[in-house]
Amino acid sequence: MISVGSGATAPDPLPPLEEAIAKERDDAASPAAAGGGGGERSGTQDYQQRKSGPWLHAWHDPVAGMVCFSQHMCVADLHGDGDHRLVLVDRKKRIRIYRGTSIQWEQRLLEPPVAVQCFYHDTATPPIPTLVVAAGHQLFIYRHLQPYMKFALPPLPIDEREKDTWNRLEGLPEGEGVEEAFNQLMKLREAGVQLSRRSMDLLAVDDVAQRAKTAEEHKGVPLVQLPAISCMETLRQNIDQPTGVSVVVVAAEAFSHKGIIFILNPHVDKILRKVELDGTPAFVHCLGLYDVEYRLTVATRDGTVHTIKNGALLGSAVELETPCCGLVRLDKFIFVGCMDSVIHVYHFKGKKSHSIHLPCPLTTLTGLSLPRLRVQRALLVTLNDGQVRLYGNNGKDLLHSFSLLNDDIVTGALFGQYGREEGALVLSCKSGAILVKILSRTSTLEPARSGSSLSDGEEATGGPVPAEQDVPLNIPKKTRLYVEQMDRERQSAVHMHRTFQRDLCRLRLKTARAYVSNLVDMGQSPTSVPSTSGAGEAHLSLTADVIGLTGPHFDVQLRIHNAGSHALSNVCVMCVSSPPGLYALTPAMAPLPLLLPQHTSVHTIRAQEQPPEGGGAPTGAGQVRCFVVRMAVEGRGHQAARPLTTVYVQMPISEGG
Amino acid sequence: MGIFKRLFGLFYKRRTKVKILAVGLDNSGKTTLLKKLRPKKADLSTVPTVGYEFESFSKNGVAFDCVDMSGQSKYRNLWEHYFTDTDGVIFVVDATDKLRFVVVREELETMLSHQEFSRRKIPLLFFANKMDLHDAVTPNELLATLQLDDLAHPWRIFASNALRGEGLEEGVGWLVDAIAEHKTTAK
Ligand SMILES: Nc1nc2c(ncn2[C@@H]2O[C@H](COP(=O)(O)OP(=O)(O)OP(=O)(O)O)[C@@H](O)[C@H]2O)c(=O)[nH]1
Ligand SMILES: [Mg+2]
Repeated sequence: MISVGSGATAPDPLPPLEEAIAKERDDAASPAAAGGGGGERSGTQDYQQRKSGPWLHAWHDPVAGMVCFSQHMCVADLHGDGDHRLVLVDRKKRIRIYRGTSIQWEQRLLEPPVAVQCFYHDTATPPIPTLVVAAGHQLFIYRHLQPYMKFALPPLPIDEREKDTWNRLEGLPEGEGVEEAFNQLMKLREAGVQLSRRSMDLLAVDDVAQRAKTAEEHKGVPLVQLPAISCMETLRQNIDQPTGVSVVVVAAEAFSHKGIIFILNPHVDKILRKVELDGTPAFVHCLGLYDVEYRLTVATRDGTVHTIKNGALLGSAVELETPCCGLVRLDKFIFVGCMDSVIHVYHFKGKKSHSIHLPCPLTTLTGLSLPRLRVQRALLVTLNDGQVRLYGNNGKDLLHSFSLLNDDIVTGALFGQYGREEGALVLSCKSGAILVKILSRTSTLEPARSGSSLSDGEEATGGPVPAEQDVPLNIPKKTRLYVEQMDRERQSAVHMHRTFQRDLCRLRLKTARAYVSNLVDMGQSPTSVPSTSGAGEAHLSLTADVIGLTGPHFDVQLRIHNAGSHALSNVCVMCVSSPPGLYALTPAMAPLPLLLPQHTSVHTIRAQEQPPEGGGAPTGAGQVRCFVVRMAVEGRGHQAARPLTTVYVQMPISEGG
Repeated sequence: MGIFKRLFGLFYKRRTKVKILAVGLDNSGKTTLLKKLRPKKADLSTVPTVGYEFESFSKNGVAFDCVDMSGQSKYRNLWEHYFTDTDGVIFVVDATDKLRFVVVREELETMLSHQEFSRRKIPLLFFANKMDLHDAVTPNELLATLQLDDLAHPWRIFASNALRGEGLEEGVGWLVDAIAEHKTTAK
């Protein structure tokens, strides 16, 4: 029997008081150390620290090799044994199931998946969930880890006139009637008819010959328009319990900028309801019970948030300023993450509550619901600088933040029960790594104290509530001068506006003139500065840097500065290796953009040292000679050969051979 | 087994009763393990313990008074109520549940930070349970991940199989022994 033990004579533990102080010190240090938002990214051990704020570091597999979005991940008690498995799918057409820290099962999918979900289709004991993977227009159903069935969303109705157009084309020999069909389709589109993808493709071809070819390709293939699933969620049917039977909510793109929401029965073989809306759905959130009352929140790619209540699309919609990149509901609030690094918070009935400003764009948004903790709900936001932030109090308090290493970014996040742990957070990263964190039972999740480095840094970059908000603005009193000025503005507003417009026009004219004169001067320069003399062109300075230590690859960086007062156009840079053939230069010759006066343009040339012929020892370092040359202007070809400026770059000795 | 019996016998003269607290995460096998320890053959099927359960039996002349705590996170805050009244602790770890070793460490730390543990040197017996399963880690690996080296209490770790009783007698033998030693030195 293996046994390991300690001697009974271990050193005394710290006296209680000292221990308590040491602990307090540790506690105080941990949120600050886990910062990373402020000036310096602290600590390399950050995200793998055993404990960082409320998070315990459970497991990290840097080479899992799956990059998943949040939709590609789910956890479920797949075998009804209380040990929840993690299901991942990825764009490489794989489905993988993790049990604890090891892979339990992996298979290939037929099509790149869009989303994966687990739900219960009936009330068996032990309850075994159904796994459904959405791909293209199809849903693949797995039970007991066996492919069970497949459900395809029905094709969409196509306008009769469009069908006619294609049918007519079908009977004609190649190349005939294409133009006619094209014009007809164009007319249909202008009339506002929703065209199929095939027609849209044809309309997008400009070239007539190409058009005929495109049309020919479609001959013999029936004209169908299939919906493309964009997201999938589940909605409990009549019991609000973890094992309650659910219906599947599938959102799909129908025609361009149109979406359809399908609600499918728990056996996934019948469509219970169909709702059409404007815009392609990007995120769906379900709330309530299908048989009682439910509400679907749908964020579309064009930045609108629609609400569907009991199968009817509500008239009111939230229009966002920028496209949406995350949707979460916590309690009565809906959090919409937008591309402009802001999370807008709405009451679920549509009233705006507040906004959370982030220092950089967010990648995922996840809601944490923790009935047993003091802070019952929290919002997890991952940013594209690798930060993972936790917000409490409806996003008003930043509770904690840690950073990933090596510029890694979280692409997908999932919070739920994994293994036997209820509060597990699974993160999938851009590098293919998987990270599992566990929310500590004893964590109080208090807002990061002001005074710690973390909140200092944040407040400045526009944290939840900037301190300045409470400081009244220094508004000067209304003086008589001010009042008079205001009166004047009111009376002669038109006149003022006109004056302003006139001056603006003048300014524009002046700018345009200066621009033109610059161009004209430049055009004259070959005559005014004889290119044979070269003296006049000495305004060009050329410096070179070699980047690369050991070779055999080097980058030669040329900085071309036009110190003269005229712009130079039509120049190019040429490079020659000396001795010839020692370096392969790419590009050996490149045209330069317009060289504006007092402006430096940077140009990089790649020099690859070639092994000497016959396999002998490297001949040692050579030179790269760079010339800036005016390109041949017609009729004056002989003049063009004269370089404007030259630099010989001594290359370092390559050790790579 | 001879030495074991003798130690028990030695102990028996001074003290007949030991109070033991069984803790560990849910599903680690505490209830199974205590049932198996009982001399009477019992049905080993268990349901997750709710709150806690008392278990008393005597074995080799020692009377055990055990408190079998529930390991579910909602009940873990009950553990500390029994610290004052215990002679030794059995900490059962599911050696296959690698994902939650960090939680085990966290709970261990929480337990050791309790004042009762800084006041008394309560012996700690760790079981790396479910060693029959192929993905179980060895006691050596477990003690490394749990960083048991720096414990200020007498402790020992054994591999065990609660279903078949392997490793249990040795472990409990050591615990009873350690309790006895602790009591004599404390006097
Ligand atoms: N293979 C194997 N299974 C075990 C072993 N010990 C316990 N189990 C199983 O683990 C499961 C949980 O055992 P319990 O004794 O109920 O666990 P517990 O620690 O009392 O759980 P809670 O009461 O919820 O804290 C049961 O299905 C046992 O059969 C073991 O050594 N090997
Ligand atoms: Mg139990």
